[in-house]
Amino acid sequence: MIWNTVESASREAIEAIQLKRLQETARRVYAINPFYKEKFEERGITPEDIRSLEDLQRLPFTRKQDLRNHYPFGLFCVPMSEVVRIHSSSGTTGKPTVVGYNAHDMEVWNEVMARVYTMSGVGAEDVVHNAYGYGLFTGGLGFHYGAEKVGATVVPASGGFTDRQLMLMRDFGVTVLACTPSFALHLAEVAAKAGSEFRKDYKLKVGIFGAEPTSEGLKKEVAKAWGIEYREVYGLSEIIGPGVSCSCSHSDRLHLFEDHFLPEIIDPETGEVLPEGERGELVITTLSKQALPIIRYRTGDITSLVKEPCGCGRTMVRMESIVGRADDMLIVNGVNVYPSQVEHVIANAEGVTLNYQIIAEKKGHLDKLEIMVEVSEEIMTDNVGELERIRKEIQASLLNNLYINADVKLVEPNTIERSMGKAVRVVDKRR
Amino acid sequence: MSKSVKQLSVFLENKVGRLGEVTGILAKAGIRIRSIELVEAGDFGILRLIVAETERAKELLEAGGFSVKVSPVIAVEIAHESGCFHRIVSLLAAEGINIQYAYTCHGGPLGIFILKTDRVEMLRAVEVLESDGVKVLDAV
Repeated sequence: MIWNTVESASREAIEAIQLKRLQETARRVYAINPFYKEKFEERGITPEDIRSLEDLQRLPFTRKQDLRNHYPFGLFCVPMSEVVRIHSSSGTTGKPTVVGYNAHDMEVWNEVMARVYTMSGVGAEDVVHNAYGYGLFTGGLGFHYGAEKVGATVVPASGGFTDRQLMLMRDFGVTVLACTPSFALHLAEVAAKAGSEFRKDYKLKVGIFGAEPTSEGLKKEVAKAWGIEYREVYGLSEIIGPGVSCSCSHSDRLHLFEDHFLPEIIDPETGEVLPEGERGELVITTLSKQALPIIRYRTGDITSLVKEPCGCGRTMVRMESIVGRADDMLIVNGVNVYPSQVEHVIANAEGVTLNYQIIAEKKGHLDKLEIMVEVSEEIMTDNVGELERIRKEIQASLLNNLYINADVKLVEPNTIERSMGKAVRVVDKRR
Repeated sequence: MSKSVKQLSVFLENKVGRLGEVTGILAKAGIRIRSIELVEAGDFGILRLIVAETERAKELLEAGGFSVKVSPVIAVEIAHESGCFHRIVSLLAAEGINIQYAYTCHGGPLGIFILKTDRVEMLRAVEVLESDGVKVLDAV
């Protein structure tokens, strides 16, 4: 089932919509917001210079810092009387990022979330358990109104109270679970205390997961723990919230709703647009938002895009599940390395998730990479040869899979420095 | 499980002071060390210990941030005379049993020889030794 016929429109039809909307958006921000007007002028362009989709590359980037600098409402393009909703990031690393919506934007959001639900096989017969947090975070309300739009019954569970949540899921005959993958796994672990047959008490068929970076291993674990289909949603509040893209039954890639969000992949270092299929930073221009239109927003997320139509019948461009963050990316002797890839290689080599830290240094003119791996109880042995074998195996897999020549060093548990409870994954001593 | 004693293996990075932290934890808790062997491989090493209270020592060391593994090893009594090691090694070699590593432990008038074979061969190793009159210990 496809919610909107535009999702399977021809490439020409999609591009025609994109160009028309891009021109409208450029005109809007230029006419209304001094920040954009100034940035356009710096580059010597006006909205009239946007004659093709390629001209998008002439427009300036917008960064998270720009939103912070104009805290709270400086980048809005409608009067406050028209704004019907505000959301905001927690702002743990500085001033919060504030986003606003007018009535039209709310319709756009509900529309894309309705596409997400339909793509996940969810309709009027379904009961959606929404355990994304309700509040300033866009997850809760985004998933809430999209479910109502497709006529499903919503249980606005929000976070916490695991036992009560499980009771509601059983008693209300919940068929759809919407939450973060880690919370889904937590729910399954608690549910499993009722015995290995616990799944028969639940009617769950699909889960719509997102809001945190997720390894392939964790996705499989969640799907298996509940015996359900795994759908992945991508989104960010600066663009709209959840509902930028979603995976379908035919592919692990996520269909990006490009009639509303125009994506590009750029080299995070040079800002140049990369060819189709290559990995780089995802940049999005909103095409239909009015309260907070945003031009070429640097998401910081690393992915790739392919345009070939999907077996599900949709033609919208498909993005890879997020590979990593541009901020975390290391360039080692010309090779791009993301910590998430290193983590993946280590987990595959040893079958367990090990704590690690990547240290980059200069040795003469060359970059030298050292990867510290903590020896956990799972891999500890009385045999030195065995530990040496593990060390060499990780080193060889890094070379074979990521083409990086790293020195793997085994270290004692808890040696890797932690910051606010999170292990510091990258130490770049070249800077 | 065949007759065996428990050995602690502790992962150590090859840097000053780490060994002292392990022995310090044990000394503070009043746990007697019966035997100690340190094997190193470049940047790291493994400290093998036979102690009086294995489980308690393991808990304390883990609480101190160390990775610890408990594994069974064979302990045999040996006399202080020439040829006694040779006798044990030959018995096992004749049966095709490989010794992965070995060290000693002193206990009164007699010595103790600690050895590790492949796990699957431990039972057979103990049988071979005992059938030839070697005393295999279940505590040291």
